[in-house]
Order: sequence, then C-alpha cells, then structure tokens
Amino acid sequence: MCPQTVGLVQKACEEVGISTTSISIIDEINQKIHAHRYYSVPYELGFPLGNPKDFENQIKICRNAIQLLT
Amino acid sequence: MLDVYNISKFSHLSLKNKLGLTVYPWKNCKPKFSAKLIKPLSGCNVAIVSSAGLYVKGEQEKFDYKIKGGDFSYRIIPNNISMELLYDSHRSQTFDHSGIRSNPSTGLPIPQLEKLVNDKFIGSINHQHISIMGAITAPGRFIKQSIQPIVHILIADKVDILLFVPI
Repeated sequence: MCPQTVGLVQKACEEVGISTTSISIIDEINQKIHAHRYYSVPYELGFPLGNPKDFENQIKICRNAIQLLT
Repeated sequence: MLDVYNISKFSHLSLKNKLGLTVYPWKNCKPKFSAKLIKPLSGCNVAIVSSAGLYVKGEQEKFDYKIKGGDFSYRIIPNNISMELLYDSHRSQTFDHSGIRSNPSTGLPIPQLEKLVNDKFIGSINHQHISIMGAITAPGRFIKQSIQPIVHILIADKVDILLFVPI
C-alpha cells in the first residue's frame, strides 16, 4: 500500500506546483496507480535504498531519483 | 486487477495477502496537471516524505497499528534529528523491517541529501520532513484529513522538490 499512500500525496503536491519524484520498489503498482514520476530500484520490500550499509549507493539512488526532474 | 502472482517481489506473501492485493481497488494517483521545475536543481529546496512509519522516540506517538484501515496521521520530523531517535512503527508484516531498523536513514535519507547539498547537486534540505505510515488500505480519512495539511506545510516551507521514499 505504500506506493498508493505516497502516490496520493504526490498527486496533491504536483497539482499545487511542487515538483516530485519517488522511489519505486514495485513498478507494477506504480503503473497501476499511474504514479507521476518514479525511479525504479531492484531491491526487495523494506529496502528502498538497497543495502543499509552502502551509503554511497543510497546517495546515488537519491541523486538518480531527483535527476528525473531535469 | 493487479497481476500479483507474476510479481517476483511478492512471491513471499501469503495467499491471503496476494488475493487482497489482486482485488484491491487501487486509487488513480495521476495528477490533473503537473509542476514544471523552473529552478536548477542546485537552487532547489528538497524535502522528504517517507511512508516507513518513522517517529521520534520519546517525543512523538508511534503510528497506531490497531486503527482499522491504517493510521492516517502524519509526523513532522525535524531535519536536524539524530537518526538514533527515529523508530519504525510501520504495521505491515509483508516486508523485512531489519533494514529500516538498522539504518532509519534508508527510510528518511537526510544524511544522503546532505551529501548532495555538499556536492552542490541540490540547493538545500528543508528544515522538516513528513513521515507517514504507508499501510493504509482505507485511504478515505488520509485523503480528507491528512493530505491537505501536509501540502500546506510544504507550501509554507517553500519546498521545490519532494523526494518520496515508500518502504
């Protein structure tokens, strides 16, 4: 349900002019709910930024998600 | 209907959960219109919305797992929070909580965004972020009571970019 919960907030924010981007663990759900903008990651549920000990990779995911806005 | 049985990341779910996800009436989250970012990223103020159910231990209430349909409240997390004070109260048992518990920043990536500010990739991090609990199966109260207050907070803070981190 997380993708839908954040998707609903994302929709409301886009409609008031705030640019948004999201991490996507399950692309099929984001396609189903027509989520506006998301960065797909290959990780399992509970690990949106991958290995909790890999700080550099976590930064890279955040960067790539934000980069979608350009 | 969602083809849950062909989603490998759902292979560990119980039959009951899979069936529930298959027939669930998913909401349409497509915005009627969308914002075009006119500032460069290096000039943008970025906030995070996390659905990991994080709260500040000792200062905020946990998200209540007993609320039918899911706890629709939200928490405001200050940007200068110490990660050790963030605790997970997400009610779903369908995912491994060990990652978030060992490193809460993977649900609310403040340190990671700080690095992006230092690298001048983004301009600034907002002074506060939003934490929600994503397992909301009945989103009516969330839509009516929480989304607009969250949006107003972000507008007042002049947030340019929102990074959503679902769990």
